[in-house]
Amino acid sequence: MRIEHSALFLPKRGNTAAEYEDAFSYQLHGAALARCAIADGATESSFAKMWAELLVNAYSQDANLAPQWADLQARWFASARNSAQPLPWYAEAKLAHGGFAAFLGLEITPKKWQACALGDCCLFHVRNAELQQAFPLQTSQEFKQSPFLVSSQDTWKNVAKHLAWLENTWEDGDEFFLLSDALACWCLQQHEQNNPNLWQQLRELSPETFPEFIAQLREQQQLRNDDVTLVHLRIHAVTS
Amino acid sequence: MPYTAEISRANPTCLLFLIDQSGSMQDPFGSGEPVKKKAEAVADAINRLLQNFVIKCAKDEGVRDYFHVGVLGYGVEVGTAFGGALRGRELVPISDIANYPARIEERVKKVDDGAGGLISQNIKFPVWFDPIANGGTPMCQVLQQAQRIISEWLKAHPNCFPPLVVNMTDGESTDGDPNEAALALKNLKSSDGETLLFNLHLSAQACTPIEFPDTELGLPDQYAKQLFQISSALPEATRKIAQQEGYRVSANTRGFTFNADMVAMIKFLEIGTRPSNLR
Repeated sequence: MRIEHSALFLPKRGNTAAEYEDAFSYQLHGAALARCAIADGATESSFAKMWAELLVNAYSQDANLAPQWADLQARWFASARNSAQPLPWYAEAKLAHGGFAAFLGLEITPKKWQACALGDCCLFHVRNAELQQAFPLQTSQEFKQSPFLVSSQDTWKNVAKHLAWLENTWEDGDEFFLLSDALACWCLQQHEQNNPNLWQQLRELSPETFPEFIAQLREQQQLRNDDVTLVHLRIHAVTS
Repeated sequence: MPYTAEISRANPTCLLFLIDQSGSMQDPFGSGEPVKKKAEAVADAINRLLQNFVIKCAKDEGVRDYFHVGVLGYGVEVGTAFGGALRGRELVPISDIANYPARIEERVKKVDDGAGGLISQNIKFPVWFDPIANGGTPMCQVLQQAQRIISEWLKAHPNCFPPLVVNMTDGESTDGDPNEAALALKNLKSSDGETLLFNLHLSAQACTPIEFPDTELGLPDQYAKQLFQISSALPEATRKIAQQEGYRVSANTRGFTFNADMVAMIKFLEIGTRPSNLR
């Protein structure tokens, strides 16, 4: 198999690039295994970007997060607490709350794919410009202000309890879109309104056109002002 | 749709707390053990509210100024109630609230040890206010002062998410019917809607806490009913959040609580994704 991949991202309007708190990762492991993940750090938590990055990088290396969990938690805490100075009272309190992120991972092997998710980052499986499956949310109504997210303070047992899983087969030319919540919600709305060009429109976006595309949607209040990430994959059955 | 303006550092909103410091606040609060005075319950609530607002706005690099906060006390005097370095200031960026509490106490908190038991943990507990209970309850006067402060804020921030004024009181106004002053305050508006007035009522009555009711039927006394009447209805966008938080709401739901946990309402002010498992 061969996979084309591209990623586009933009911080929330009014925020700097350094304040972008989504994360994504794509890794190819030989010719028969690829993993891709995106995560969306929650605004109301501290060091959320760091947590989102730890999650996507860990998953891209190894989809089984259970044995890595304690190490991930320790690394998050050590990096966040990386100061010899005593922290101000609010930083101490915030740190105790933990880092929070929505997470979505996709593993592709010959003929099959498997996804896992917690929160509102979404996967769209598209074949011949037709949506096959949306995961884990299926309608635009399901997006909430306060989703349950992956917490750096939680036990793996509890995280695993909330993880959703889906697997299916893929065919030559199939596409996957992995989106953080604001754009995922817009996509589902467009799909619900039968926009026939939706997937083509997304596929054709480039680093040059993406900022303008997002700015317009925000301007027209079609898209909630939030960090935006779009990862696009297209799988080919044969190596060429 | 009103009440949908984004709360951001570029477009912050303002929170103004009005704290009843009258002599009647010496009376006991509710039926809890140990017996607490109403003034202590209010000081405790405002300190916890401020802590929670600061923590809500804390990010990796420090505290983001999504809110400017003021506190007016009313009792023997009506005026700003900040102590320490913030004394005399009316509206203060939340980062200043974070950095200049009057003092920071060390308290012991019992926390879950993850194995079914409890362990003691030392936590820092910043304090901005101490309980005061002296004099009358000049509620009309404090509402008028709030009106002046909010009006100045709105001149400088015409497109902000509408200001929120939270009045914590036992409700027994001694300078007349607060209805007119409350109405004048609520009529002040930004391009996103009218100023919101919430009332948190504390009473000596032993009665089940009431949170965000949509009718005054069932409220225990005339003061509660009067405070309910002057409280703003929850805007549609806020109702949705309240609903997601598990409150039963209708179009008539008011920003009013009776002997309830007052910290819950900070969740109604949205600054971005708030994980449901963040407690």
